Formats: sequence, C-alpha cells, structure tokens
Amino acid sequence: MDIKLTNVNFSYPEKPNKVIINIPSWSLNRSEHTFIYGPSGVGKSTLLGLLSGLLRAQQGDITIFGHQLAKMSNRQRDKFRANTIGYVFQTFNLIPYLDAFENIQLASYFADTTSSASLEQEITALLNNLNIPEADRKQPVSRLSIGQQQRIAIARALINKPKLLIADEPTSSLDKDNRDKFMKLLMSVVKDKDITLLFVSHDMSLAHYFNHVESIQDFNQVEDKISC
Amino acid sequence: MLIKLAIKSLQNRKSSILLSILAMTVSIFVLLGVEHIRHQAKESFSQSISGVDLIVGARTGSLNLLLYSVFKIGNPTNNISWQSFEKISNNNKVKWAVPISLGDSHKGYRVLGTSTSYFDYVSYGKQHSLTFEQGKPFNHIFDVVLGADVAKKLGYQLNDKLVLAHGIAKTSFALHDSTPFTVVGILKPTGTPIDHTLHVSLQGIEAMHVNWQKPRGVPKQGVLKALKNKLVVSKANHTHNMPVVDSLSSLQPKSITAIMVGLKSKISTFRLQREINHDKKEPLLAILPGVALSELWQMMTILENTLLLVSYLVLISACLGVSAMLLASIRERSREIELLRMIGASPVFLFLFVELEAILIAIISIVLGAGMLFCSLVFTKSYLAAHLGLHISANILTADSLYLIALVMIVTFIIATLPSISSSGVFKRA
Repeated sequence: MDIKLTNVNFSYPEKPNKVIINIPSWSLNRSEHTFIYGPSGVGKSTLLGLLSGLLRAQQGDITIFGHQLAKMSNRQRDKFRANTIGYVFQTFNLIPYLDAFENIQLASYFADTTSSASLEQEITALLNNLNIPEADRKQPVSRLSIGQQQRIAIARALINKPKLLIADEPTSSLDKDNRDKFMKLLMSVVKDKDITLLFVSHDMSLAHYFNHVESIQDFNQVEDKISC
Repeated sequence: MLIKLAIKSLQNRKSSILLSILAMTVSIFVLLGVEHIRHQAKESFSQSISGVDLIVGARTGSLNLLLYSVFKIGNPTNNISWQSFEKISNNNKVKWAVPISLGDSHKGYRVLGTSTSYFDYVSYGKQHSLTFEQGKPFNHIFDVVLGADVAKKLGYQLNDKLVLAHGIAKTSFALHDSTPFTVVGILKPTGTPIDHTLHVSLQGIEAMHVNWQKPRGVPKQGVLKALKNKLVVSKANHTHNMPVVDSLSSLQPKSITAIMVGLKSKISTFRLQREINHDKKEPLLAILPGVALSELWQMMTILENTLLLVSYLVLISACLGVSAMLLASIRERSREIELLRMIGASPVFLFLFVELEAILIAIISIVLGAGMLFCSLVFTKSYLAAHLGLHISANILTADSLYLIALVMIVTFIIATLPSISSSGVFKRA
C-alpha cells in the first residue's frame, strides 16, 4: 500500500464543528490510476490538501510511501511535497509571468535538485515529450492557450520525478477536443514513468481512462449533509 | 531563483510598482537632500572662518565676540588698545595677527578696517583663502575692497567712488563724505559674512575720522591730502617700516575691535588663550572660533531636527504606501501563492519573496533618489554658491547618508513584514 489513511478527521479551524473529512480507512496501491468522483463540496479538494500535507488532519494517520505526514515538521513536509508529489490544478498551474522553462525550473528549485546542466536537458526532454513547440517555451505562459498551459503544467508536475501525481479537475477548463488530448497525454506519461495517479473530478465521462474508480462519498463518512 | 522570481514578479506589475517606486524615490530624495544640505550648511557655517586659531576681543561673551567679529552681527562691547595688539602680535607663539576694526558702514553693509595681511591669512571653508574676482588688495588709505555681495547688490565696479557712514544703520546722517573711497578690488563669493563686508585699511578708518566733527582748522587736513597718494604699509604689525611722513603716526589707530590670530603651533592654542584671558593690563577675551561656531550652531538644533523629523515622516509614509501596495497585491495573488506552496515553497520562501520585492523597490528608489539628488546638486551648485552663498558639495555618499540608506532598508524591511507574513500564510496554517 502506498497511500494509507486511518481514522482521519478534518475540519477547518474557522468552522470547527463542521467535519469535512472523516475517513475510517482508505488506501491506494502503487502505480494504481485512481479516479475519484463526487459533486462539489464533499471534500475532494480538502482530501487532496491533506494528502499533499498543506492541511493537517486533527486526528488520524496519513501515510504516504511509508512516511507518516503527522510526524514530519512543516519544513520536512514542504520538502516531501516538492520531492514526491506532482500536482495539476484546474487552473492557475503556472506563474503567469514566467515562461514555461522558468516555471519548471522553479518547481525543481524547491525539490532536491539535480545539477543545472542536466536539469536543462531534462526540461527540454519533458517539453519535447509533451509536444510544447519551441516558440512557446520562452514567453510568459499567460500568453499561451489554456490547453498549452495545462500541458506545461504536467511537465511542471513531473520535473521532480514524483511518485504520486495528484490532478484536481485538470480538464474542466478545456474543451472536449483538448480534454481528450490532455487525458491521453497524461495517461501515457503516467504509465511511462510508473507514477501513482490520483485524479479527482466530477466529470464521470473521464472514468473510462482509469482502472480504479471510486466515489469519495463511499469512504468519506461525513454524517451531516454538507450544503454548498 | 528567489531574486529572479521577485524581479519577474515586479516587472509583471509595472504600473502599480512604478507608482510605489516614484513615491519612495521622492521621499528618499527629500530625506537624503535634507540630511545632506543640513550637513553641508553646518559645515559651511562652522567654516565661516578658518585658518584662524584665536579671536581676541574685549572681555564679553564668547558668542558675542564671535557674532560681531565674524558675522558682523551686533555691536562690539568695547574696543581693545593698540598696545594689546602689539603685545599679542609680538608673542613668540604667534605666527600672524590681523587687527580688525568695526563701526562704520556703507548702505547697511559693514565696513571692516584691517591690514592687507587679512587677505593672506583669513580663509573660509576647507582652507580656501580669499581670492579676488577683480582688482587687488587695498594699497592706499582710501582704497576699499568689496565683498562679492556688496559689489553685486549695489552694482559697484572697480574705480567707483563711495562714501562710508558712521554707525551701522542703513540710512545714516553722519556720512564721511569728505573722504570718498575708491573700489580697488572685489572678492569672489565665499558664502560667508565676508561677502557682505567692505574692507578698508585701518589707516583709512582712522583717516576718515580725523577731520570728522572737526571740520575747520584741522591741522591734519594737509596731511590727508598728502596721504591720498602715499602707500600704506601692508602689514600693520610692521608699522615702524612705514615709509611715510611722521605725521602719519597720528593715523596709527589707538584702538581696534578684535584681533584674529594664527599660531605657529596649534598645540599652544590653549596656553595662549589662557595667557590672553589673564592679561593684567587689559581685560581681553580669546576664543577658539571653531568651538564658538559649534556652540552657535547648537541653537539651530530645533530647526534642524524639525526638518529631519519631517523627512523621516515622509519616508515612513512612503514605506507604508509600499507596504499597502504589496498587501493589496497579495490579495490579488492568492492563487499564485497557493501554487507556490503546492509546488513546495516554504512559508519562509514566501516571506522572503515579498520582503525581497519591497527591498528591490527600496533599492531602485534609493538609486533613483540619490541619482536625482546628485544631478540636481550638480546643476544647482553654481547657482546656490552665487545666489545664496551656499557651498554644497555634490558628493552625497558620506558616512551619514550611507547610514540613512541602511536605515531606509531596515524600515522597508520592518514595514514589509506585514504583507510578507500575510503571504507566507503562517496564520492560516492549521
């Protein structure tokens, strides 16, 4: 088991009585590609925040690749996140005023970096792999199309060779054509590099790309109904 | 990486950053400018007279003596005898002694009776000796050398004739109009009270008083006429060498107002000062001009501090402006910050990121503000010297301004902690 949650409880400090996450037990296997669906407001993003270590559970254990998040210091968790978890958001994946190259460099800066000479090669290889035209690599990403930006986001997420890739509705701002292209690219890259993928969306039409599909409401046992 | 990110981030928000930089630049310009001019004014003031080790006058307060002998403000309480002058100038510690005699005026400008050695020894600023714009020192009894301002304001040229008045009021009814003086020299501007002074020989002062109030039957009338073309000996302390008629000795002043003394060795300053102050024959006072000048400057401290306070307030308001701008920008950039956190940026990194932006704004503003100040000083230098008599050096990189610059950076850092902490989100952490 690569990711394991036991008796995890979480509520935001502003509303301590409203439990957002209550997971008695849940796990993911290595190299599994998991699709988690659920309507908005059922704690999908909160779950991802907990997994990435940006949020801390009030109770329970979260173990990722054998590391207990609760036992790490803030600093260790930031490093751990940079080194082992890649992240692709719905939008705003990139610093808009940096170019593709710099965005990826920045991500590798926070991880335990390889030497800068090989880093440049790696970034070029990644961008080639993801079909980013040369001309688009040296201008601020805010000038590129959304589809292009999401592909660069994958490159950014992969630069530190993460073992876990978390994608939070990465396709919802794309049109159908781009969405299919994006999904195909993502799945092939993940398979290629043997990465555990956790994909969160409310769009069930994407489920066929995955071998493992779960509804968050099945394992997140929040008693009172959450209004949104 | 951090620096690159901060620079790119600033570039991305050019317009709002530009305004902040402008506000900062102006405030730094004001702060450095006030500080620099304050220093320079103090320096220029405390060097109103230099090269003079002691000023000797009748016993009075040291400020009073300084005011009337150097600044020509107020009136001498008493004169000192010529014997005292001779005694001091013959003292073996004394290198030179220049007598000065005050009491007359010309259209509100003070007249200073002295010897020609005045032009050799008395200096101002950093040992700038007096230089002539036109002409030369006085040679004859009825020659006058004008300070730069006197010549300019009253429009005198070389060889113009002018009449001195008794007393110091602007309009005097007691004109010495039987003895007109000829302008033989005009001094270059010095930025000191010398600019407002007319210089004549001591003999000239005596001569114009010879027949004053005794218009008729004065035996010296003939002497005066003869004297008009005779050379007056330049060094007053060598009067015995005067190649003039015997009766000129009656032009030997009986008393003078003060003496400026230069010593062979500075070490003996205090000893001679004590000697003079304890003189048994005549109650004298010797002061060190530098010490008295700084005492006088102390009185301006309040004005000085008020100016400084205002410029500090301007700076703080500019820093707060930058801080407010950054705080607002962080609200706008919450997603960018979230993203940076997600890809592994620590709160420390985000804190430094925003701090660095503030510091960069401060650095750019300091460079611009200092550059602006330097340029404006270079361009206005000659104007200030000529019109206000202010000698301000364009070198603004003094220890004090570097200290101020460091202070600006520290203030910026402290004020920017607010937006920085807000960006690092340490309070938001669960």
